[in-house]
Amino acid sequence: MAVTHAVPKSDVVAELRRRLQPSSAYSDPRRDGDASQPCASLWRPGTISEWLAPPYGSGAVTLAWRSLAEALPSHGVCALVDCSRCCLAPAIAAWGVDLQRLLVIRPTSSREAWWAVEQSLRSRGVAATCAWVEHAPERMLRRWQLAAEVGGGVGLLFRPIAARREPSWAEFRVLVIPLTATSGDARRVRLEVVYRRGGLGGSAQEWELDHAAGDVHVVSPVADSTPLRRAARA
Amino acid sequence: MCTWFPRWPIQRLYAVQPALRRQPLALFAESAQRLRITACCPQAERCGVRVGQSLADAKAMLSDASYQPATSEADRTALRELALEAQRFTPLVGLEDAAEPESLFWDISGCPHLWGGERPFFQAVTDYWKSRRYTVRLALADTVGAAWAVAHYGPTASLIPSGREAAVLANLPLAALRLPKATLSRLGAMGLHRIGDVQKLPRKSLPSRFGAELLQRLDQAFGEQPEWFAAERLQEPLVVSRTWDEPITDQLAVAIVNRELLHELLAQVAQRSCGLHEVRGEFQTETKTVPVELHVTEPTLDEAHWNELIALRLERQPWPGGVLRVTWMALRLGVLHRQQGTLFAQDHAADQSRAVHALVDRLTSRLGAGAVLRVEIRPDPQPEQAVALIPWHQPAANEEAPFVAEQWRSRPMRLLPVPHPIEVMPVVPDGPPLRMSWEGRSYRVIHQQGPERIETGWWRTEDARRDYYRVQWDDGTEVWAFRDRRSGGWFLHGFFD
Repeated sequence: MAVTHAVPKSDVVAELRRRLQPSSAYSDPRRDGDASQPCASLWRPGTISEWLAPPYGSGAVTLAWRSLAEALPSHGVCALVDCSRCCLAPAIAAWGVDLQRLLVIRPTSSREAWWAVEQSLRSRGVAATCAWVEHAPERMLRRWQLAAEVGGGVGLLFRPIAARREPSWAEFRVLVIPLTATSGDARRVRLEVVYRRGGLGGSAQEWELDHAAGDVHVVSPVADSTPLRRAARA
Repeated sequence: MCTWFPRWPIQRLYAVQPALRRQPLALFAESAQRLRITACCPQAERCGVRVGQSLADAKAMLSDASYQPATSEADRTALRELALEAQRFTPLVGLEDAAEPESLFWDISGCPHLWGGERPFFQAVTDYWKSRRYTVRLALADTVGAAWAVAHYGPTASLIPSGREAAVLANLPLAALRLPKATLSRLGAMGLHRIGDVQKLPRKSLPSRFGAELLQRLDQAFGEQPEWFAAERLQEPLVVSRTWDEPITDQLAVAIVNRELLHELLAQVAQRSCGLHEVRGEFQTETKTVPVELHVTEPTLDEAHWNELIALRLERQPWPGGVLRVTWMALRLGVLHRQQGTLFAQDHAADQSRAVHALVDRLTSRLGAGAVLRVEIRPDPQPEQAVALIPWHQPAANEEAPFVAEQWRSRPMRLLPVPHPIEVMPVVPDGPPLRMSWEGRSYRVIHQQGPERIETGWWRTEDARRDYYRVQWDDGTEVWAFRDRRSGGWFLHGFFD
């Protein structure tokens, strides 16, 4: 006699919903051919990224948010876990993020901040979670990565350069070094992908942050002023 | 019947803080970017303080008075409580329909005979307010409009015999009809000052000349048109509790009881076809009672969600000894948000909105409402005053300024709450910086933009007069610093992260 297992209707509907659901709410820069933004090809929903930069005034936050703003889905809030209580949220929104979507979380201790980051990453209502993390144990980083997978948003962790030596569960790690060359409203930073899952790190580029236009773009390398023939004779 | 509490915001503060009676008192609120006096006591008024005057002028005129911020919502709430209190005389007492109410309306039909007639009833009400140290003006008339008019503009403690309203009202000023200022000034310009003056005019011409409200108010006062008011109602509180003879110290046992009580409470809330919005728990221990208050962004009957929020809150709640009694009380109910579901096409926006609400509730339960915030732009040029972070669930303020991205890109991503003094070597005195010292290290200034002059806040205690520079140091760091034009000192105010 054949045994038939009765599957609850709710499970069937849930499974059909899952199949019908688009695989990602994020725009895929690789598919869209958007190569004008730093790390445009690296943003992937359900992952976290680490931005290593000097502690003050490096331009890393500007670069990261301008880059992410292009890839953000139309729904969901952006959570800022601001332990230092110094983050000026409208200045972040000015780089392409809707101010109404910014949820500012101000925990009073590192432990509360870690918990808030995990909750935020785990929520399906959060498109991006941004946090300044001086130090976090490895197991916490692993928990965040798993939480991001559940939530489907992206995580941006701003960390000191010294954290480069620590293990990471991030999808990619970039190092941002501010450069002194600047003119008018623009400033330059050097962005180096120090690690990328899949082992394709190591590339570096110079980026210009245009505060007046609210845009960032790659600085084209200037050609060597020495003529080729002359250089060959030298 | 109408009970008017003249200068109600002042009287409310006197009731809360009796010590304020010892000195002149004035209340202020922000209006058109200036702090203005909204109410003052007679003593302050005698010294020249006037409603509408700027706070600075009032302080210049009367410096030894107490100046307190006005809180119209608290005034309304307190008046509502008085309306409930007045239900000892009649079950139907409500607030007047005004932006800032100061009067209570009473429907006393069928009640005065319990006190021996209208006059003893009237006297009992007068004595009651006097015993509570409130200054009131009462009037009893056939209509709400007539009672309001006589209470505000008629003789003190007036009991108008039934059918005699017309004679009394005719001599009262037109302001007694609760008309807008614009209508009153139009009437005044025509030489019409008393209600009797308007009664002499043909009725048909009144709406076209002075607006429909004049005729409506006249008819309401004379009983030609009905006028209703919303009576405040005492609701039976939704409370569930458990009591033990011996104190319980086991946290797990308390958690189980919490779950059971919440289940009972939500069942009671569901019977009213509402969702639970705010709840208060009280844990009576051997030494004291520990209160816990929780609220959610949207009213809900989701038991699992409430259980999670309670567990998050109690996780960090210290218990002084064992628990003898646990009580949960519904503080606020709300309309449940119901939406027709779809079979396959999921509403992602609605799902995400629900997920955000759930996240905000969780974060608020553990971190507190002051840690889960949204951003509001304020129309203030001073950087530290231009942004207000308010609890996520709090409604938006009316004075929110528009967000202009170009302006905010010239501001640093990290703004120090208090500007940090910094050593600077300027090119010339009062000129742009050449070197700066920060955290024991000296930096050469490679590039600077500015000055951006900000002079503001003179109406606050300390005004700001600053010349801001966007400065790049020799290691590439970009900072926002300013020279204080009063002291000449330099301050670091932010970093362009």
